[in-house]
Amino acid sequence: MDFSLSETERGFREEVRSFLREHLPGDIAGRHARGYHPPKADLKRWQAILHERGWSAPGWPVEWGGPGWSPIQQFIFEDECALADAPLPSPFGLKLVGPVIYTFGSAEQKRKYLPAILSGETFWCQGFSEPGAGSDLASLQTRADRDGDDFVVNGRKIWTTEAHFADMMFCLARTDRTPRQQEGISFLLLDMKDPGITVRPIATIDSGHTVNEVFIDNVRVPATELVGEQGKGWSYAKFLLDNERTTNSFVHRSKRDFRRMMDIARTATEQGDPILDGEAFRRQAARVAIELKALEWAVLRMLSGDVPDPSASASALKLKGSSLQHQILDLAISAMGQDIIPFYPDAEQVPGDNQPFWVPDEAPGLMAQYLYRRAGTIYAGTSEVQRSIIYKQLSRR
Amino acid sequence: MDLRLNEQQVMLRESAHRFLRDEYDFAARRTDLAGQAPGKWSEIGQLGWPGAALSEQADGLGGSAVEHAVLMEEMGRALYVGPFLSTSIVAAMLGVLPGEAALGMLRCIAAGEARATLAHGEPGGRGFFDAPRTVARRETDGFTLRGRKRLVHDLAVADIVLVSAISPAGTAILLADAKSAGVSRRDYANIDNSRASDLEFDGAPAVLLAEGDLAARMLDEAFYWAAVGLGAEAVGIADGALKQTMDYVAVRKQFGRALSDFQVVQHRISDMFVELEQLRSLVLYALSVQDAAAGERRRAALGLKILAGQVAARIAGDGLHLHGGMGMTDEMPISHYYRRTRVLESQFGNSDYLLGHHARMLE
Ligand SMILES: Cc1cc2nc3c(=O)[nH]c(=O)nc-3n(C[C@H](O)[C@H](O)[C@H](O)COP(=O)(O)OP(=O)(O)OC[C@H]3O[C@@H](n4cnc5c(N)ncnc54)[C@H](O)[C@@H]3O)c2cc1C
Repeated sequence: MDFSLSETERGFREEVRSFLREHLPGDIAGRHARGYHPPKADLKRWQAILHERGWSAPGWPVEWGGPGWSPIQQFIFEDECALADAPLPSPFGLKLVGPVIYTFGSAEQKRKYLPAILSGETFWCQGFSEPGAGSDLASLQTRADRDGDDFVVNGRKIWTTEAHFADMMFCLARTDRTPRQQEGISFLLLDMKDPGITVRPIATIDSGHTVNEVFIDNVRVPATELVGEQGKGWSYAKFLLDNERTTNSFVHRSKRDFRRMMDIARTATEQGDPILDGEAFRRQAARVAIELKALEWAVLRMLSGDVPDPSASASALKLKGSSLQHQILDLAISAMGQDIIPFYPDAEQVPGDNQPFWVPDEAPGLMAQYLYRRAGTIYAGTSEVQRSIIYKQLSRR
Repeated sequence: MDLRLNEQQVMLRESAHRFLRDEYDFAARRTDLAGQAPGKWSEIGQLGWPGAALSEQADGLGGSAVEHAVLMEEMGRALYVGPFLSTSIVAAMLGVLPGEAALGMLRCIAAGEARATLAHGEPGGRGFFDAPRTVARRETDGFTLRGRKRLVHDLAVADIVLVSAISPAGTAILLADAKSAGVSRRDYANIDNSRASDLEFDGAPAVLLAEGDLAARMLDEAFYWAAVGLGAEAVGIADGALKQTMDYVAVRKQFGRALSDFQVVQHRISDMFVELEQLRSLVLYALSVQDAAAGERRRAALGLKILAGQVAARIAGDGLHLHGGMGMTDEMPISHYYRRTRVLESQFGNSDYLLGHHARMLE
């Protein structure tokens, strides 16, 4: 066992840090720190900058344009990015469909899609959930009927994050009627520009716009856009969802949030004393700091392959991670006091005299972020679904 | 002892329930919120709610904080947004004052002719018990105010504006006109759709209502009515959230079964109920001390405000989670219940702040 970072790893951290110092645009970092959803333009610009350096797809194999980093290097990279307030790249291309395409896709699909994901030219969205199929994803009803060289797709997707600015959708649709629900599902790549696709925004609790309903009406998809084999979509989706779960510990972002929370608690005062000097507050913060450290090492264990059951551990990370991010923001909200009451529209989107006279620096965006993050226990498999996975895995051994 | 509502109180509750159900359902509420002055004030005035807890001398119905709590609970359930609580708080404060002027204002409130608010919190402040730094200065012909007030709920529609300040005799409560010269003002919306304003007084004229002990008593009264009101509102919110959630999980099917068939879901709902029972009970305790000594009353009010903020947010948060993705949408009442609880938890000081005050009073 070796608990410390190697010379190379320490050097790598320095390299990443100085790259971020030089190349992360201040306006992008500033907006991201505010807590509002990053606009597409920011995501695109930042992805292009990373791409130029060859760092846009940390987890990808070298063959497809990845930097060839070890898992620990990827961890360091994401850690530094979060601490520098770099926006998290949109996960749908890079983390979700990219690996599916380079693992199961055709040579043509790889050529066609992977470079544009790397460079940030093409944005993707995930068309899995449907109004009737959430936790029970396998009950999905969207149909793809074979018609000559095409599939004709009909159905309705919901909660599709970033569908309003995505160029492509990877989509699960039923191609065959089979007794086992999971067996008739296929994994298709849809062009969002198709006139048969209608995107309707869903107004959410944080007053932001991230999720959508997507209506798919007689969309013709060439059979060449089918990933892998017809009817095997569920196994590719499982591969994808497993990847998604492992990246949902939110640990890097939570470390950044913890710092921000501490800053708020140092700046806000009660009777002239910083909130952070309050003994009760400090103890609560200490408790959270301990848990956060444990979470960080749980992620490192996972990356070193030192876990008895990767699938159970991945779910444990998602459960702990989503609850810890709440706890950290709860403390931030508590430290902020009454300044969380007003609704602060993103001043860049909605200018005007619509905000209080006196606004602490960290107040705008904090509550919107808090409200949005309530979804952390819902998306990518709800907490209940994660618990079921854990027990299923444990009882198998 | 009999902890049940009396006949009149039951009638009040039922009439409030009916009115809110028929005239203020979720869709009507949305329309109301889009208007200039949300809160259906003229209807509420006609129903006699602003005077329900006021003395008969003030043309009220001679009720007490119990009537206030009955109405606030119904409003919580209906996600009511409007100047009722702000007005009730000011009415309670005015009730402490002797003299015709205060009685006159109370009569206007009871008749539904006046809405009112208290400008008390200031920038950088944490909660209700922070001493005001706004200065009231005696001039030859009355008083002037200098200072800043923020998060003044419902100011834009208030006909009566009370301002807390510091004067040579200690704390002072004054009557001000937010539209007069020497006042600048910024209106904004809060995350629960309520409305508030920030005010800057720069030599604005004001009328002194009370100083020293009398002013302190008015503030005590304000906090008590605020806490009882919010405590009861929290019960309504939590109960509403629980019902919405139960309805949702009974209808929503996954894995071929209603969500309510899953034991984990049942247990979570049961836990919501357990917390709600605690909160309901503490509201009654707080009501039981309305005529008790100031210390006991304040401690009870603090305790209730703390539990209300915590319990309502937890119950609404659990309900939101059980709605899955739907819980995150603006379209579902549960997301509004949740937002309201976040504001409620912070109003007049968040739990962390108020716990400090409560803990210091513990014996
Ligand atoms: C902000 C956000 C972004 C999203 N982005 C995307 C996206 O880009 N693409 C996409 O495809 N999907 C996306 N989703 C959808 C997400 O994956 C689903 O919301 C999630 O799978 C839950 O499904 P549901 O909303 O239908 O809730 P339901 O499945 O109806 O669940 C409701 C509640 O019941 C509980 N429950 C369900 N089954 C059981 C059981 N067997 N035992 C105990 N409890 C149970 C759940 O845990 C939950 O609390 C997003 C969701 C959100 C909120």
